[in-house]
Amino acid sequence: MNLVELNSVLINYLRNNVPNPHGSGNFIYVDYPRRDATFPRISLTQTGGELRPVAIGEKTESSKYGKLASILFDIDIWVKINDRAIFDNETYVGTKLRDYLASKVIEVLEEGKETLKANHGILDIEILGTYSHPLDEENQLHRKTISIRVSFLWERG
Amino acid sequence: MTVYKGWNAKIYKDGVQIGLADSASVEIATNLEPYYEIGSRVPTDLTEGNQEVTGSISKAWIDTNYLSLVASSSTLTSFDLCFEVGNLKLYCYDCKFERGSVDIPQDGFLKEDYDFRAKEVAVVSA
Repeated sequence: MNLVELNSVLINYLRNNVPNPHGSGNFIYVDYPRRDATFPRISLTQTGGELRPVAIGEKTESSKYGKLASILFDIDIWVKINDRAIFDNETYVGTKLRDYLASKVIEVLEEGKETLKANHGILDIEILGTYSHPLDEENQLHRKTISIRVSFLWERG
Repeated sequence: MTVYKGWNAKIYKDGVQIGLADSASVEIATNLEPYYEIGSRVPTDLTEGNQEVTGSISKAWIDTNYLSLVASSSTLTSFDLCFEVGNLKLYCYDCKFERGSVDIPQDGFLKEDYDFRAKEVAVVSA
């Protein structure tokens, strides 16, 4: 697996498991939203990471030298102040909706560790922290960032 | 002369490469015995003692192959090890594990560590 494939795996997993406030269609993307984007929206962005030798002379199954990759991501939940959605007969608006979606993201990532390891070889997903940004008054946006670290074996070509 | 880092090295057990090892060491002790004459502050002779070859291997815990070599209550199975990097080879013959442990950290990788002792050692430079 490489960085682009890792993005796809995480995006598809989140799309399939995080409740959609729009009811249908995509709202999770690998980029920061444009001003005219549709909200609520979730963005997944690689912010950094490191590759280091996984072991002494280690080779992965495809006979290439392997690296242990620890990649950092920011998952941003963007909600306009008047955005609303109903989940389980309860209405969520503004920061409440933002925090609900953030909570769901954390929940599904924790629940999916075994599946992601079995299907894609992701060794671990660690939730490093969350941060609620001050209201963006110009764009009327609430935003919460969840920082995660994803570990997997990188095949060196 | 070339300097290497650990990822260049390979470790073989009975000819099969050991995977997911992240550290290893080999120590050869000659147990020299110094002989001091009365009136001398320096040894007049150094006598070779018993040779001891010991070492350790630390690797990720992914199966029971290695643990079973140390957990047996009967005679321990012996094996050969080869540490190789570039043209340098260090052979340890007729090894047995004399200690094994498993480490299960709360937020880290599961590891197993072994101390071995060998009957014989050979250093080869091709």
